[in-house]
Parts: sequence; structure tokens; C-alpha cells
Amino acid sequence: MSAGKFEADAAGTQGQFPRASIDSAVREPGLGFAARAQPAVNHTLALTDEVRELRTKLRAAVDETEQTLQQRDARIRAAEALARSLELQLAARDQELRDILTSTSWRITRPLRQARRLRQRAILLCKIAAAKAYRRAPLPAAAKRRILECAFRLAAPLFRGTNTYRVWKGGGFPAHSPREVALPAEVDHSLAVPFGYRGTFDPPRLAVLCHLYHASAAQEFRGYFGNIPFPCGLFITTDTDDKKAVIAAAFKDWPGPVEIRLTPNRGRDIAAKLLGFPEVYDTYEYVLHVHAKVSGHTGVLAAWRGFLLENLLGSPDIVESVFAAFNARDDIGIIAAQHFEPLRHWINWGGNFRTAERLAGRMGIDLSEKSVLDFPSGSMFWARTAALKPLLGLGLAFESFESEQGQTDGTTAHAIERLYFHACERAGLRWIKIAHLPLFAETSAVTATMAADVARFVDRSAVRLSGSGAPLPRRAPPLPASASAVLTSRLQDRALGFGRNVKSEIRVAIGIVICGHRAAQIRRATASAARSMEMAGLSDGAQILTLNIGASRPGLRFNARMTRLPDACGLGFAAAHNRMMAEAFARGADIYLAAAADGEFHPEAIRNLVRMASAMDGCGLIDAPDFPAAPAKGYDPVTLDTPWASHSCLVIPRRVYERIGGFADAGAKRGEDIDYSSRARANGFAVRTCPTALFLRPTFEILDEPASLPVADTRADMPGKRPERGRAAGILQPIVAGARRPL
Amino acid sequence: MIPGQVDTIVRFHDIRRLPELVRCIFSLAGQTHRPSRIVLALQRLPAADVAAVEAAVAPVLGADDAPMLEVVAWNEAAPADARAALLNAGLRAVQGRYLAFLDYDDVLYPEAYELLIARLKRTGAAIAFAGLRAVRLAAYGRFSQALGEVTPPFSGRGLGDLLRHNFCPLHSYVIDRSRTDADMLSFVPDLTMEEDYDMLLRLCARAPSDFGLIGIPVGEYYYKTDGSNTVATTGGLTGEALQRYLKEIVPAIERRRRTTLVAPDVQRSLGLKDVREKRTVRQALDCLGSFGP
Repeated sequence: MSAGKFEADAAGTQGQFPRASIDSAVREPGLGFAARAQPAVNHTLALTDEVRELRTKLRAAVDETEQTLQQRDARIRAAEALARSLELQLAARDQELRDILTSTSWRITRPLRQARRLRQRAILLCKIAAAKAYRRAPLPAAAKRRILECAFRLAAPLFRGTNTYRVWKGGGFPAHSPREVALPAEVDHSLAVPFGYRGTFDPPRLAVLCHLYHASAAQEFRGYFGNIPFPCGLFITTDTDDKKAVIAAAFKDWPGPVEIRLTPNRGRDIAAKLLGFPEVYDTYEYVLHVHAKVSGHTGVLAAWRGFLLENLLGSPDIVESVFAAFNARDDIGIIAAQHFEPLRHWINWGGNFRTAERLAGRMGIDLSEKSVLDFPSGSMFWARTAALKPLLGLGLAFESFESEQGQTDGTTAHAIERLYFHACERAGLRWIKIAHLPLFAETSAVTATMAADVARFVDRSAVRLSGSGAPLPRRAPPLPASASAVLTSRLQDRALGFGRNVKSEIRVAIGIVICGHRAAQIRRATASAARSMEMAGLSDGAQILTLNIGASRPGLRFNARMTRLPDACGLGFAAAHNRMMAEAFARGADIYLAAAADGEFHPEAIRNLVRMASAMDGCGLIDAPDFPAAPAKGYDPVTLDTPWASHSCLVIPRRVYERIGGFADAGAKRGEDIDYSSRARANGFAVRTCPTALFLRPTFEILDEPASLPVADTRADMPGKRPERGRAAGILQPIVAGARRPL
Repeated sequence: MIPGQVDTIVRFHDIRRLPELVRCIFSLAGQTHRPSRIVLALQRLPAADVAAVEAAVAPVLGADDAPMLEVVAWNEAAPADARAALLNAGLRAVQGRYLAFLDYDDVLYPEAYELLIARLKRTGAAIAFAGLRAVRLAAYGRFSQALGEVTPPFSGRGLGDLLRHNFCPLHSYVIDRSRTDADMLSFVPDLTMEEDYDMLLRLCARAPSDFGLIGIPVGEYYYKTDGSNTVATTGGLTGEALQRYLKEIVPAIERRRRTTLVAPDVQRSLGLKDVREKRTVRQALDCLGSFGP
């Protein structure tokens, strides 16, 4: 150890006073010089130690750097070697391929390849011919279906991608075709709604019984309940405390009584609606049964819920027509929607007849498996409470229903769904179906222009399932159909608020956080915002707020509508928005619109965002998708619900702000919008995308490049424009291929 | 020829697709390159529809430095399918040094022209190509939804690949008109498919081309689920269109390969050592084999 230390000393004190000499001088007794020199010596010793320590650290740092460089060199060499190897492999493969292509065998087999191509073309032509032949063949529908099923089984690859095949693959055609018992199309009539007349009636005593297993749909239902043009009681069931809290928040300021109750997760919506609020059936004359139905098991049924809600309560006129019908005939017990077209071929007992037969027997109904069947598919309908008394009188409890195991058929709930019309008839009442015609590609419906038309429809066209007047069931199911495109458009329009006028008194404040952005970018963002506000007719109450959190301040000219908040260098992005949000709402804004400083609004963007916010009654967050590089984040094309709303261009209505405040100010640069969306949803708000509002964003970050590289023509080339720093093209950071906006 | 200016020819033929046209023009208005001009070639639209088009795109071009707009209303009776005729009509109206194309239902990223023109300046090429992202798009009544990126049917790396097959959609390149002859920039009116590829074959056989950005997407090529933009290269053609493609278009393109001479410089850029004066595209491809540059 001492040898090591000596070596270190010898090396470490080179060119300085040798420590050994100093030590010996200090140890010499009686030397006045030494005594006087002692402090200086001590200081020198301390300095020497310090220098040694620094040299040691420096050496260590140098060693470490050298080691790193060596490792890097090694990696580069390895990478180069790999590249060479790959190039060689590639060349070898190219050569192999060239050899193959120039080989005799390849030439000889050319006819085979041509034959393969011809075969593919022949298959295509055969498919076209087969489809034509199938459509024109004079065979019964059942026989055609059997042929189709055989074809699907035997030659599935030929049919993939077709709608009919998808329906069949998704379980559309029952494996063992059940007995056909549904109404024949020629007797399956509906009343067209809204009616051609306005009925007069006293506001009914109405209870809305709604089961929201999917609490995220609360805002959607709130919107539909807004179409009920008279007071009603709102009775909502769900199965967990968390969902209850979300629903309570969604209906917090609902103008009327709302009661939310927890029910066991048994018997789906059927048990919840029949048993969740038993007292309702004694105090109200009418009920509306609805629920947050989600049919994810087959794509074609995705719009089923929307279809039912649009038919039953798509507008105040439709609801008024329903009660005009109840008023015109006091023997109408249930009013349901005509079947969803893609579902028609599934109208049968399925695996539910035995259970239904037992329940019907307890109601005094004699069921036959061969008799005609109809029911409110989807179990949403309007009813007089009297029509449900036979079912309510069964004394069912939640325990009467099977525990939840994701069943798609064969449960007590499925059986009861098929017994609603039977129960209605048992109560001595009639049932009818209604259809909002724009939602149907083709259906038989009667238009009522006076109350007598309703009465005539019930007498002549309403079907009875029991008794001698019941029609015979259909002989074959219809071929699977798609949902009407009009339905999708209608639901999208409702979500977008299309057709609504944007009220000019709505005050929108746009908040832009500046952090290292160029003046030109900010000018484009603010100018496009002003143009878009003007297009929306919102200029009078408009504000544009900016807050610079960067180290430098871009030179900007501000006009009367623009407000620059005091610079806050180092403030977080979320905190900056919170500061502007507070300012905007304090000044009376109805909507705060967070916008990226490097973005540009489409002229229609703000109108579309505000219109959608109005359609949602300010009960949700809305983002505008980045354009033109399509964002990775998806959304439901019908409801426009999205997993989270991006703060790149985000609408925050006052109602949301007052409930949940601003972004979480954790100082994090990313993720605050995801967190904010989660909080909004937990508070009962919807989180949606407005796909008609485009917000143009840069796709690349074009970095500075060496002066030796040629510079692109940019706006700086225009007369009178000065070149801006950092806009030289050539060195790219493609955002599109990175994490920000890939699909 | 206005220095620095890029003229983009946009063709449009169906008034029902107006929202898509506005989206396309918005992407052009958002280009970072200036000066810029849009030549909007309209196929046989009635005067009321022309006015509707102008009214719809005007707000998108409302910024102080927005691109200028030139509307070319093409109203000739023939040919029925006027896609090439529209491009020719647009060509007659261009003024700028740089020329680009964009169909009404596709979009470009804001930096597209800035990047491509930088390449043209840097390399001295007459045409610079970049990549595009192929995206499946669900078209609804009021909006379109991107469903995901798909593997494009067009793929290639360089000039050799382009001479073999068309992998460069109409909006994937910018042309420097100062480095091309006028006869290169025209479209054969009878071609109702691959009219752009025919032009590219003539241009790239004679003038230098640059593929340095071929791996960088500068825009999106949409495959709409309603099939309204199915093209031959997707394999989506059926029936009469497929028959016409096989019987008319493919032979016409092959004729072009067999009659178009490749300039010596271009032969050298293809890596051909034995440069000859009169070598056609087909002969050059035969020399290259299947795996040339």
C-alpha cells in the first residue's frame, strides 16, 4: 500500500514541492524559519492534497470517457460489420434471385405462374357469376340460406370480407336454425312517428326506468331524456357505487327528480327495470323502459341502441306522438320500436321457449312453440304500468335470475324479453310498434293524421299473439341486412349537434401557451383562430389569451381581442393553461379552448366545436383531431366517444371547469390531458372527438442544419420577409414516424 | 416562370365530394412553403357548382399569405373520363417554377413542398419524390375517419423500380419546370388510368430524378371504405374496369416503355455501364434485370 501511495505521490506532485522535503523541514527542531513557515507549509500541503485529489478525479473522468469512446467505437465497428454483413447477404440474396430468374427452371415454369394468375382471375369471375346466380335463382329463401351456409363452410376464404359472411361468422345464422315463428313481413306493420297531427293530452304521470350498466352512456341518455316534453320521474339503476357516482354527477343539475339505486348484477336490464323500483309501478301510470345496451358481439348491431333510442324518443315530436297514441286508445298497453333491420332474422324463441313457457304458465298464458311470436327486441319500450302487471305479479326476485356469466341466450331475462307482448295481452291490452321512417330502408308503416287513424290502425293492423286472430308465422327468415346509412348519419348528426345554430352570445376564450414557438407560428394560430371565430359568428365575445412560459419572448403585435398574460418562464404547460383558464372564466367565458401554438384552425373548426358543445349542453370535453396526419387515438364513429381528449385543441366548457377545475398541476409535460379526461369522465362528463373540426399541426420538426446545405424556398423568400431561424429544410425529425401521431 | 413558386394542380369532378376538396385545399393552405398557387381544374361542373366550389374554398384561403387560387372550368364534351384532360388544362394555367399535383380526396403534410423543393435545389434533379402513408379511411356523410395505416400496394426504392411499376402516387412528387422540357409535361388524354405514370415514364427517362425522401412520408394516400378511389394497383378493379385496364392500359404503358428512350445520364444513374444513345426503357430494364436500382 505504501509503495502504491508513494507512486501516486511521485506522480501526483510532479513539478511541485516534494512532500518528503517539507515534512523533514518541519520536523527539524529549533529552526525559526520552519516555525514561521509552518502555516505556509500547511497551506501548501493542503493545496497539494487538493491538487492530487483533482488529478485523481480528472484521471478517472478521462479513463471513463476513454472507456466510453472505446465502447462506442466498438459498437460502431460492430454496426459497420453488421451492415457489411447485411449488404453481403443482400447481395447474395439478390444474386440468388437473379440466378433463379435467369434459370432455366424459372423460364420453364413460367406457364405455371401464368396459369396461377389466370386461376385467380377465373376465381374472381366465378365469384361474380355465383353471386349473380344466387340472387336470381328461383329457390325458397330457406334453401338459399342452406346453400349459403354450405358455401361459407366449404370455401370460407372466398367469402371473407363480405357483410353476409361477417354476420354468419359472428353467429348470425343460428347453428341449428330454430323454428320460424316471427311475424311475416306482410302483416308486420308499424305506426310512423312522429304523427301528422299533434294530440292533446294532459301531462302523463311518467316514470323513466333506466338501467345504466355502462355508466359512460349517462350523458347520451341525458340528451335523449331532454326530448321528453313534460315532467317525469327519473329512476336509474346500476350495479356499483363508482358507476352510481358517475351517473349522479351526470344528472346533477337535471331539472327534475332523479333517483339512483344499486341493484345486483343479475338478470341484466330486465331484472333491474322490473325489480329495481317496484313502488314506481303503483304510483305512475306510464313507464319508459330503456337501458345502456351495448351489442359488441356483432358489428352490425353496434348502432342498435341508437336505433331504439331514436325511434322511441328521438325528438319531442316522437314522444308526443307516443302519448297521442296512448290517449287515442286507452287499450294500448305497450308501444315498442319496429325491429332493427339487421336483427329481423333473429326474431325467434332461440333457446328460451321452455323458460318462457314456465313463466307464461304462471301468468295463465298458454304458449305454443309453433305460434307466432313478436317482442320488443332490445327490451326498450313505452308502456302503461297496467300492461306489465302480469309480469310484476310473478313475484320475481333478483335471485330468480341467473348470475351474470356473459350469456348471450337462454336466461330468464331473455325469456321475459320475449313475453312482454304476451303479458300485455294477458292484461287485456294491445301492443303496437312504431317506426321513425328515415331510419328504415324499407318497412311497412301507416301515417296517422288524426286520432281516428291510430284507432283504425289498432283495429285493423295491430297483431294479437294469442287467440284465434293470431297470424301464422313466417316461413323463412329474411336475408341479413345492414343498418341503414341514414341511421348512422342521424346518430352522428345528433352527436355533432348538426343543424343547431351557434348562439352568437356564447363567449369563447382561446388559450395558447407559448414556449419557444416562432412568431410566425403564433401569428398563424391566432389569425386562424380569429377567422374561425368570425366564421362562427362569435367574434363579439371572443378572447385570445397567450401566456409565454419560454425563456425568450417572440415579437408579437396584439390587437384588442388578444390578451397577453405576464410571462411566466418555467411555468408548466398545465399550470399555464390553468392560469389562462381561470382568467378566461373570470372574464365570463362560456368555453375555454386550449390550442397548440403551432396549430392552425380550419375556418369551420370553432363553429363545429361550439355546436357540438352546445349539443352536449356543455357536459363534456371535446377535442379536434390533428390534421393532416391522422392521430393514433381513435373514437366511436357513432357516439364520437374517445378514450381521452387531446389538449392540442380541446374544448373545456364552463360547466366542466366549475366541477373539476383545471389540469392537474403536477409539472409533468405530458399526460395532463389524459388525466383530465379521466377526471371528467369520473365526474359524469362525456369525452368526445369532433371529427368535423380540423386543427392543422406540423408533422415534422425541421431542425437547424449546417449552413453549407442548400436552404429551401420558404416564406422567407417572399419579398419583404426576413428569413427565420430554424426553418432550413433538410434535417428532419419526422414526428409522424415517431410517438406523437402515428396511427 | 415565377421563381420559387409552387403551382399545385387539383382536379375535381363531383360536387358531392366538396368537403373532401375543402380538406385537400386546407392542407395546401397549410403548406409552409411560399409562394404557392392552386390551380383547381373542374370537370364539367355547372356554373352554380363552380360558384359553390369557389365559395366553399374561399374561407380556407382567407389568410393574408394564403396561396392564390386559379379556377379552370373544363367543359369539353369529350373525353368522357377527363382525368388526363383536366391535368392538361391545369398545366396550361401553371406559372411557377415548381409543379405539383394533388387529387381532391388526398392530403399533404404542411412541410411537404418545403422538403421536396429543398431536395430539388440540393440535388439539381428535375423531379423529387417522397413517400406517402397509405391510410384506410371510413367515409361518412359529414366526416371521414382514419381507421389505420395499411401496407401500400405501391412500393419501391428508386428509379429502376419506378420504370418497372408505378409506386409514386400523383402527390408524392414535385417537378422543377426549369429543368424539364414542355413535351415531358403533358398527359395522354386517352389514358383513363395510369395517366400520371405515363408522364413519369417520359420525364424520368430523360431528366434526373431524386428519390432521397422516398422513405419519408409527406402526405397521406387514402383508401376509402366506400371504394370511391379504388385504383388499379390495389387489385380492387373488377368487371369492365379490370378488363379495360388489362386490355388497354397495360399494353399502352408497355408501348411507352418500348418507345421511350433513356437519356445517357439517366442510364448512368441507373448503374448501366454500357451507355447507349438509343436505349429504350424496356431495354434498360432488361439490362438491369429484376433487381436493379
